[in-house]
Amino acid sequence: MVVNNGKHILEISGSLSTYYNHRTLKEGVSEKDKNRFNIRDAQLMIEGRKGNLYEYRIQMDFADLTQGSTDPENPGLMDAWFKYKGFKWFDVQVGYGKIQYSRSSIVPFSYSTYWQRPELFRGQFFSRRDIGLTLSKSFWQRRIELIAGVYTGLGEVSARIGENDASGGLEYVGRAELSWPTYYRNRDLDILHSPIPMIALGVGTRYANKVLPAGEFFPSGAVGDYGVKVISGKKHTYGIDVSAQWKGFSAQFEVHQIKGTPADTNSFLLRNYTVAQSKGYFLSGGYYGQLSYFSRKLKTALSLRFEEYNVSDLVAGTNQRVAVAVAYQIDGFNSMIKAQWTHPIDEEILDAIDWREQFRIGWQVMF
Amino acid sequence: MKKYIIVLVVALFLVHCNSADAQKLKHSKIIHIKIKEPSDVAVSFDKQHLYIVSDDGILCETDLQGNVSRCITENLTDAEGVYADATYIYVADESPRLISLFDVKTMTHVKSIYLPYGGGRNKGYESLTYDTDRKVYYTLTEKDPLWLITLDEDLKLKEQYLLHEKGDVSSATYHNGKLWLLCDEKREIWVMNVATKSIEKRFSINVWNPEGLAFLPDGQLIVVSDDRQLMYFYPNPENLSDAR
Repeated sequence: MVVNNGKHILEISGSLSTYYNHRTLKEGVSEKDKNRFNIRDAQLMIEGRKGNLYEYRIQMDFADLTQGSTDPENPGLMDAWFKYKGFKWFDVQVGYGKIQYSRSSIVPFSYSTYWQRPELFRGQFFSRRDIGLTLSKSFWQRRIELIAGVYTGLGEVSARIGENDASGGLEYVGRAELSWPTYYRNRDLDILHSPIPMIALGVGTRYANKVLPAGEFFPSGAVGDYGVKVISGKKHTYGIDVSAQWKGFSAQFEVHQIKGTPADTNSFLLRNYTVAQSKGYFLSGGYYGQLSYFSRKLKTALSLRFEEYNVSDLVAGTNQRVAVAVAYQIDGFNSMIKAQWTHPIDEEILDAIDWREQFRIGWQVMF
Repeated sequence: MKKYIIVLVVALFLVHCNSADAQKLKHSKIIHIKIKEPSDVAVSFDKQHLYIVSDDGILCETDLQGNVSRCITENLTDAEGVYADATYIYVADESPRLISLFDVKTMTHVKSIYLPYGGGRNKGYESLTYDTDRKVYYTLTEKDPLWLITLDEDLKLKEQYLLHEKGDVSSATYHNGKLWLLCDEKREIWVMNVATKSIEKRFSINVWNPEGLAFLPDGQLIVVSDDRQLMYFYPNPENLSDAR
């Protein structure tokens, strides 16, 4: 819905989604608390534009706000930023929103066949949102896009506490994207059956050097489930993503590596290795690949996904998961029933799980 | 599980190969146009120029081959539809819901008329044309829902009609007694009988993100692609016999 006075245009939109989740547990595990219905989204978005110079967006998810959730994949506050487009050489965005680093993280959830993003992009390895300043510029009919930003560096937690950690260090992010033969939208499915093969290649990097003073800690939730999201020391992350589509078929591939160099050589992140053994750093990261097809006639998307990730190269083993998703569009993305089956193939000791299969089915409505 | 996945993939592939199409149009020429994100095109009253508008809030005058002679940006935000007569160039500004009039000779802004519509910001008026037979203007909302809106000669709302066609409309032009509509998402051109509101013919075009269509004085049909900044020329589809 739109309210406007001819110069200032304000749009209100939102989405609701609910799913049922069922897990098949490993032998000896009896807690079935994940077999439940859940409201994933109860989002309201206010998006505006004042003339040709200013754009802004405020987006909240009441389902997560009421639960006090700090889940980086699905936070309560999703966007609170404005963009100024009056400079000749770049647009400036200020506030809290998605970090333009990884394509898979950038693609809006509502346009995905899946109920969950790959583990690497759920905000436990690197943040998906933060407060800061983003500069962007596109060239060559939007086929090339360059983005650079500086952020508090605590990710989604930045919005909750309104302060930096005791190190005062910031995070710097850069991304370049090339699309061919034309501008490529942030979507996983080729619902329009593009008549020409289209591809987008992105490279991204991010760097933070946060050294906590003795006795200080990061705010709760900032370091993520694995302790690698924010570290005391240097963290350098870099990745490549590719997306392609043609005649209803689409594919995505993305690979990222994190190099963490803790300031404290006795950090748990070095897993009790000596500096001589670990060389003072650990590597983390992974990759995922996804193949999808959208049938316009059946209004149905089918997608297959494989992912592998490693929390730390200093600990043996990696995690592998396969997922299959089917989505039926009752009214495009505005009303879509989605089902996802996930099966862990392998797991490392740092991410041991108590289930064998997860099945999730639900309905999303956008308004 | 693997067996079911294979069966599903094969089934989807067969559906993909068996999809029915409208009559295909084959372009005779493609040119690149130096206007960012062209969103509609109209032929001038004297048949010597084209007017092309852009999502970026630009209105340009070009020759019939798309070579730009002059452009303006004042009083435009999200220009999505254009039509011209002997006096004015009319631009449908989608997000602010305005129809803005510009003097044909000077391309200066004359006035804007607010045409309220509560739908999504990018689901407003994407097209504008004039019915020379009934002396009314037509504009259509893009989708969700698809309204055909009739305006009188003072650009005041006369009536609106809900179309039940599946798809969107990104451009419209009235030509030889029919309303020609461009469907971006399906990459189709629909020929509408205005009296019955029925789609009498459908043509498919192999154009990515088509946003504007118009007929040149010699009968050629032109279509502009927004993302690709290209203009496609087609032989007059009225001369094709096997249209359904």
